Amino acid sequence: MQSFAVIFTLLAILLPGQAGAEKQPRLFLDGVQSYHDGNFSRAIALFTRLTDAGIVNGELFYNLGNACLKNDDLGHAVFWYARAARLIPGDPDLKFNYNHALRMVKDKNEDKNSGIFRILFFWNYMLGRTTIQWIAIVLNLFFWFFTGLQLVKKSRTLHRSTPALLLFLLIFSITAFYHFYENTHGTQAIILDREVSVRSGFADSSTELFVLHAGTRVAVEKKNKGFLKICFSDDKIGWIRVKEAGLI
Amino acid sequence: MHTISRKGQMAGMGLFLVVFIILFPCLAGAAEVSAFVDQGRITPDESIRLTVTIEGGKGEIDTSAIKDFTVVSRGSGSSVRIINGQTTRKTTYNFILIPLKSGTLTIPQLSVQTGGRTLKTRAISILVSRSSAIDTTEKDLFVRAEVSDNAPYAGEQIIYTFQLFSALRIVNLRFQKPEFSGFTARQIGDSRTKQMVVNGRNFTVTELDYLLVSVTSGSKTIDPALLGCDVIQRNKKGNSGFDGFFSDPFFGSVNTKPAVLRTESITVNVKPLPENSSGDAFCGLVGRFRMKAEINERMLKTGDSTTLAVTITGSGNIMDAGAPDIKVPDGFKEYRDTPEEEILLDQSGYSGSKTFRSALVALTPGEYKLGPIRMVFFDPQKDRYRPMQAGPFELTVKPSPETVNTKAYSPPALDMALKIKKQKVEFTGHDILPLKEDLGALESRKSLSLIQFMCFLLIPALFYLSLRLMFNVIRKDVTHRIRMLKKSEKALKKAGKADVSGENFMDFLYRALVAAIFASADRPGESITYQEARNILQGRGYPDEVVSMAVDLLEKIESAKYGGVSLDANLRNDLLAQTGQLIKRSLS
Repeated sequence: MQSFAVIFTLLAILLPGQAGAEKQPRLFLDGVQSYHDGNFSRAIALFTRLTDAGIVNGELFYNLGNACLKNDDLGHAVFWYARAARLIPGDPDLKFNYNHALRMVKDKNEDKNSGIFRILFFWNYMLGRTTIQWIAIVLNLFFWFFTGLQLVKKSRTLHRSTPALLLFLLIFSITAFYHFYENTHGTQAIILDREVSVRSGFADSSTELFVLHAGTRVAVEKKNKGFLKICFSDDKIGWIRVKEAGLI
Repeated sequence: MHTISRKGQMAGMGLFLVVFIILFPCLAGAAEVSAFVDQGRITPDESIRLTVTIEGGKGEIDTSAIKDFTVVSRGSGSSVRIINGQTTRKTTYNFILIPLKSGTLTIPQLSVQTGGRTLKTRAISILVSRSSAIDTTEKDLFVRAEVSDNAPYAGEQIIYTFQLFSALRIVNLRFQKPEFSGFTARQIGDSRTKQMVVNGRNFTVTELDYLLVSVTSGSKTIDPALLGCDVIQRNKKGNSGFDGFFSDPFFGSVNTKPAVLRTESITVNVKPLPENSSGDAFCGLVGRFRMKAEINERMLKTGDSTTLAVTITGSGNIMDAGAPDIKVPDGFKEYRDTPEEEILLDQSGYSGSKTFRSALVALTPGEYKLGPIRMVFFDPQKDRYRPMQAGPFELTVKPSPETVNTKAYSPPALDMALKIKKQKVEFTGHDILPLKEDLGALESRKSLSLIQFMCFLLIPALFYLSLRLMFNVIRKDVTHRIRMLKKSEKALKKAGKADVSGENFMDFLYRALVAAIFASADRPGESITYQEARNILQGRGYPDEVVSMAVDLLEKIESAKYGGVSLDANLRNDLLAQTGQLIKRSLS
C-alpha cells in the first residue's frame, strides 16, 4: 500500500508537467502554421504561451520578432529581436531581420558612444551570454590547472600561458558579471507602443518632455510607482510607464 | 626755339570755338542712348555692324525685337571723358546682324535698361538687295556647305561638308556650326586645308566634315553655318617696301575688317526604310555589311567549352548591331561575352567590325548542329534588304571520363574568359527572413544563474587551495626529517674520510649525531644540549637504552671536541663506529 501511495504521489506531481511539455511542440507548430497562414496575431499568442512557460530560446524569440513585425508591431518585434540577440548574436537570419526592423525605427540613435563600445567590447556583441559564461568557466579551469601543475612540479616560474589565461579569464568573468548585473537591474529597454510621451515626472499630468517611437532602445535608470526613469541620450531623460517599454 | 605767334594763337582759339560750337548742341541735346549701323545697303550674304552706345553708364539691351536679322553679339567697350571737370562714361555695345531675307529690313527700336530707366533707340532701315551682290566668282571670300546625299534613308549616314574659300588673309576665325535638327551629328576629325583653283583664281580652301544620321524620315532643314572672321585690309596708299612686312598680323597694328559669312540652308529628304519582305528579322543595320562566324573546337567532351565568334564587318551604323540570334542546341549552355568593337570614323563615315563571342559548354553527349546564323541589313545603295549568313556548324560531344555535373557548376575560369563585369548587388525588395521551424527552438537555453556561475569559478580555485594545503602538510612532514637525515649522513661520510684532521673529525661526528636526533623529532636544528636530546628521543618513544647511548655518545664527542683529548686511531674508529651504528640502526 505504501509503494502504491508513493507511485500515486509521484504521478500526481509529474503528470501535469509531462502534459505541459507534450503540448509545447503542438503550440510551436501551430504558431508556425498560423504565421504561414498570415494569422500573425495567433502566431504571437502561441509563441508567447511558450515563452510564458519559461522557455528561453533565441530562435523562439526570433520567431516572435518575425511574427510581431509581420503584425505591424515594430516595438515588440525589436524587443524580441533584442532578446534573441543576447542569446544568439551571431545568427545571420536574426542579424538580417533585426537590422531590417531597426531601419524602420523612427528615432535616430543619439548615443555617440555606442559605436566605440561596440569596437572596444566586441566580444560582448559577438558572443551570446551563455557562451561568455562557459568561456569564463573553461578559462578558469585551465588557469587553476596550470597553477596546480606548477605546484606539483615545484616550479617557481609560471607556465607561459598562465598570464594570458588570467587576462582572458578576467575579461570574460567581468563581462559575465556585468550581464548578471544587467539582468537583475534591467538597464536596457525597448519602447513598445507606437508613440510614447516621456514626461518630467511619474504622473500623467507631468510635462511631456519629448516623444519616443516604437522600437527605440533606452537605458533604464530607475523604477518608481509603475514608471521607469529612462535615458535616451545625455540630454533626453524622463519618465514613462512600465507597460510602455519592454525590459530586455 | 620757336614761339607761338599771335596769329597761331587766334587760329587755335577759333578751331576750339568751332569744335565747341559743333559739339555743344550734340552734348547738350544728345540722347543718352543711341544706335547706328556701319552701312545701310548690303547683299543677302553680307552683314552689318550695329553699335549701341549708352552715355553715363552701363545697361542691358534687348535685341529680341530684331526679327529680320540673326544677331551675333560682338562684345562691349567703355570709355571715360572728362570735360570741364565733369566725368562722363560711355559704354558701347557691338552686334553683327545677318539678314534673313532680302528687301527693306528694319532694326526696330531697342529697349535699353539703364540706371533704373527704360530708354529706346531709334529704328533703322536697311536695304538688302541681291542686285548689288557680286557674283561668287568675283568674290575673294565665301563659304559653301553640302551634304553627300540629299535623299538618304532613315539610319543611313551622310556627310555634311563645310568649305571656306579664301583669297584674302583672314584672322580670328569663329565657326558656328548649324544645329543639325533631326540628325545626330558628329564632327569627323579636324579641319583640313588645301589649295583649289576656282574660275581661274587660286583659293585656300578649308574644309570641315560632320557625320549625320537621321533615324526618322521626313524633310529636314540644316540651318546655315556661320563663320565670323577679321579680314586684313590691304594698305592702298603705302608703297613702301616695308609695308608688307609690318602689315603682318604678328606685329599687331594692322587694319582688319570684321566679316560674317553664311552658308545656304540645306534641305534633306530622309526616306523611310521600305518594308522588309526578306522573311528574316531586320537587325537595324543600314549600310554595307558582311558576317562571318568561327568556332574554335568542334569535337568536345561533356564539360568542355568552345567559343563561337560572330563578326560583322562593314560601313554604316555598325555600332548599332545587335547580338545575332544563335539557336544553341539543347545539349549546350551558352555564356555570352561583352561584344568587341573596332570602329573607325573617317570621311566615308563609320566603318569597322563588331564581334560577338559566346562560350558554349557541352552538357550532354551527342551530335549537334549549330546554326545557320542569319541577319538582315538594309543596303541603301541597292535600295533593298540583304541577308547575311554564317554556319551551320557540326558539333560532336562525347562523354567525359570525369563525371562532372556541368549543369550545376560553372568553372571560375570561364567567368574570367567571358570578362563578366562584377556589379554591386542591390536590394530589389524588402522583407524579413522566414521563421525557424526546428523544434530545437523549444529547448530552453537559459544561461547559468549567478550562484551556478560562481560555483563553477570557485570549485577549481578551492580544489587548488586544498591541493596546496595538502602539499604543505606533506612537504613539512617529509622535508625536515629527510633533510636532517641527509645532513647526518653527509657529516658521517665526511668524518669517515682518512684525511680529516682530529678537530674536524669530531666536528663532523657531532653534526651527524645532532642532525640524526633532530631528524627523529622532525625539526631543524644545529646544536643541542644533553637534556634536550634526552627529551626529544624520549618524546619520540625511543627505548631508554637508545636514549642513553645517544646521550653518552654526544657527551663523549663533546668532551673530545672541546676537552683536548688526544685522538688516536682506535678511539677515532670506535667513535665513528658507534655513531654510525646508532644513526643507522636506531635513529634513522
